[in-house]
Amino acid sequence: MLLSQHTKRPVRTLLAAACLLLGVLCGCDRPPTARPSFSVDGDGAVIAHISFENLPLQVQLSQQSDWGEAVQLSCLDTEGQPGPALLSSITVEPNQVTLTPTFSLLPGRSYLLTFDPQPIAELAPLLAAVQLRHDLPANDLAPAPTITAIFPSIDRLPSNHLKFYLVFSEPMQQGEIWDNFSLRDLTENKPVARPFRHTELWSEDNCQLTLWFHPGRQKTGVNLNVELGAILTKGHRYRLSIDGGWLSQRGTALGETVNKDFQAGPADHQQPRITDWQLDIPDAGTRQPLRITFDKSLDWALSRSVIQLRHRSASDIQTVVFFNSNLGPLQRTLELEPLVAWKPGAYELVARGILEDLAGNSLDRPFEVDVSDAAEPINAPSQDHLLPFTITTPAAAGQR
Amino acid sequence: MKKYAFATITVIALTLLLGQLNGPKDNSQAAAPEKKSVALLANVQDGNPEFSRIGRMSFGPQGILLIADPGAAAVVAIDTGDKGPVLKLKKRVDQVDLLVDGALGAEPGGSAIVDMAVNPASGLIYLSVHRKQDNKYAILTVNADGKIGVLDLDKARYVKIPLPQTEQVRIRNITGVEFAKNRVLAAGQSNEEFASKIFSLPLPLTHGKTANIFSTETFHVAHNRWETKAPIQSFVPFEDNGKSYVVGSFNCTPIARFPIDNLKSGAQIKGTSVVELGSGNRPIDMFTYKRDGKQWLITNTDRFHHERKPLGPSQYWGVRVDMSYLAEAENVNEEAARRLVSEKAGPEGIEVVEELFFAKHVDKLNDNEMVVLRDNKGHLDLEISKLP
Repeated sequence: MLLSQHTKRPVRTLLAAACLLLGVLCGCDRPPTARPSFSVDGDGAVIAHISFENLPLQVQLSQQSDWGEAVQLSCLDTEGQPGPALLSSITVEPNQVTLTPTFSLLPGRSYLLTFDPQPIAELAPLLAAVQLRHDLPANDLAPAPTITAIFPSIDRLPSNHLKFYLVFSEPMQQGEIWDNFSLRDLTENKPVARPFRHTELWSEDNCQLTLWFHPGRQKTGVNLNVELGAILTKGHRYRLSIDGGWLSQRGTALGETVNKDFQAGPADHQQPRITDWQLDIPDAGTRQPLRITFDKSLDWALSRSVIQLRHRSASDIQTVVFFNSNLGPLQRTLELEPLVAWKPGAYELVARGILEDLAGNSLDRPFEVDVSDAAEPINAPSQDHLLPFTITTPAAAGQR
Repeated sequence: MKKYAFATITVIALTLLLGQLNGPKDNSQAAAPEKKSVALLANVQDGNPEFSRIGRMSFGPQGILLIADPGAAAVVAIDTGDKGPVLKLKKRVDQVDLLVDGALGAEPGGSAIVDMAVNPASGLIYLSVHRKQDNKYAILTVNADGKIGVLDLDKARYVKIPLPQTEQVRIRNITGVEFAKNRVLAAGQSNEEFASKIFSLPLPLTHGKTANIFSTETFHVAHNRWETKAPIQSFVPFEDNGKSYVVGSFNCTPIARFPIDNLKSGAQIKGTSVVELGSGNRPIDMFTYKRDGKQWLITNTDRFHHERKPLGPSQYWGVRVDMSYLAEAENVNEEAARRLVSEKAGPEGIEVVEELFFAKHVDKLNDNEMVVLRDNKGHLDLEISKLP
């Protein structure tokens, strides 16, 4: 039925009166009502309901009506104002409409359930709009997360240093994280503008973040490097800061700003060389660790993952299984403790070619290859780098 | 007569209903009605792909949505069943970011739009979104009326392809995933290495299958001298004279082409810089379109040195590039065409596009229009803009 603006209100009033009269005639002497409520389903999810009472018998609720407009659930902002409606599905029963949010409601947030009968023609003349607020209790405030380590841990970094690893005690909130980081030149007492590469690289357990300096500033000849220079200046002191307001995924802030101070040394363009590593070789029959001293500090993450040890016998080659693997505090040493006692014989330390130092120079290639120098290997496939050695029994030690 | 007609209709209805209830018994091939769809996906699964994270997305043919899961280092293809007809966005949706917050049940600013893809077959806009408080990911849709919907992942028809990993180094970020002529290409980065790999996934995309996927590492040369590994930030597939390329941009926006024919797994390829957009920009999206017999590349970027050296009214800006530059054989690398930040226009064939100012994400709707997610004083508006 089409109603003009002028006739709408009186006709609706008449309709409502007729419905009420019909209700009275049917024996229902109480007015129709809509009652909002919340409940928790078997999976612990909060769902919302509008229950109808005393509706005239001839009013049949239909799934086809525009319930999406009539029943809405919204998250309240900090000032108590409702935002846009949550995505939800609506099911209609004879005397109840149930709204199930597509996404679970969040702890510590407040939501407003509203029912406006106007979009439902058969209810519009009978009912008034209602609403109900629901405050979800916040989870107990979890303990503050901590930054358990920042690597590299040395306080003198090459001026072409590339990346830091931040290790957290628990997963942190992700997405748009870059305002949490700053770098200050302590020597000149001024902030370093936009030093970080805005690519979030989290470990699988979401507890470790790789924080890169912007490579365009650190690469020789690349436009940013030419125009602005490198991020670090040799001899200057710097402070890397991680803001204390950063929240864990459990919603608790770090609390205090975490700083790492360091000094920039000369740029490093030299590849690490496995043949320059020193070995403290244990005796056969013991479980003393094999101690490796690198030629310089190496990348913390790669040093722990791309170095293996093999035992060569006449018949086969076996990978040595370690009980423990300890990277030294300055990422200069690695101690490998075997699961079972060392057997005498020939061994080889195997490092994958991607193992890098702090400036991105790997066993395979320097970070920057001067292709005008034909002597440099260009795009050679990555390879394993080997360092053979022998483990002997103490009696034969003198013959090593 | 009526009786017979009623009985016939009942039988047909019951047959259709039973057919629906039983569903396709054989899940070895996509059961999409179109035959071509069978060639794109194989061993299709029903149910939730169980994303670890939802990142970059792009649309392929026949309503197939490609989605990067950087958390699981996998590419997921969902047969959305969204095949048209085209009902494009009728009018601008203001502050769509707040609508997304609301739809997810988050407070204002409690969610982030990770990426946007438009299905050219329907005009429906897909947003990959992240609810920060509980680290939940979802894919929402925006229809022609500007209404927010959801892609129901519990009822997805999908294939999931893990990218090959070495034991020691895992891919932790996928910067793009795109349909090419006869394969799907993905670009990925690891946590530890400053490098990126291009993965080539053969068609049909087969659930769980990693065999025959090859990866290749990308390099870049500066000043004809300094060669470094170069992670690709954004890319589009490109065919020229029967050869296949990836056209990718690095963090500092040299646009380079990488030949990908006849590559073997583990091979390394060197990109040839063909266009330089200037320093201080982070490339975001890329797509190509045709106009007046020419093919053009659109790319939008985030100028992170906007405050220091603005190029226009916004840190978000973009260009269109005549694709004939990408076929350039001689004026490459240091001689590559250079878009100078200090110049208002030029060189010819590289044009700053006014419609791309403030554009945080763009995707092609057709050869005349693109969908733009536009920064508006910290909020995001969604609208259709004309392509130049």
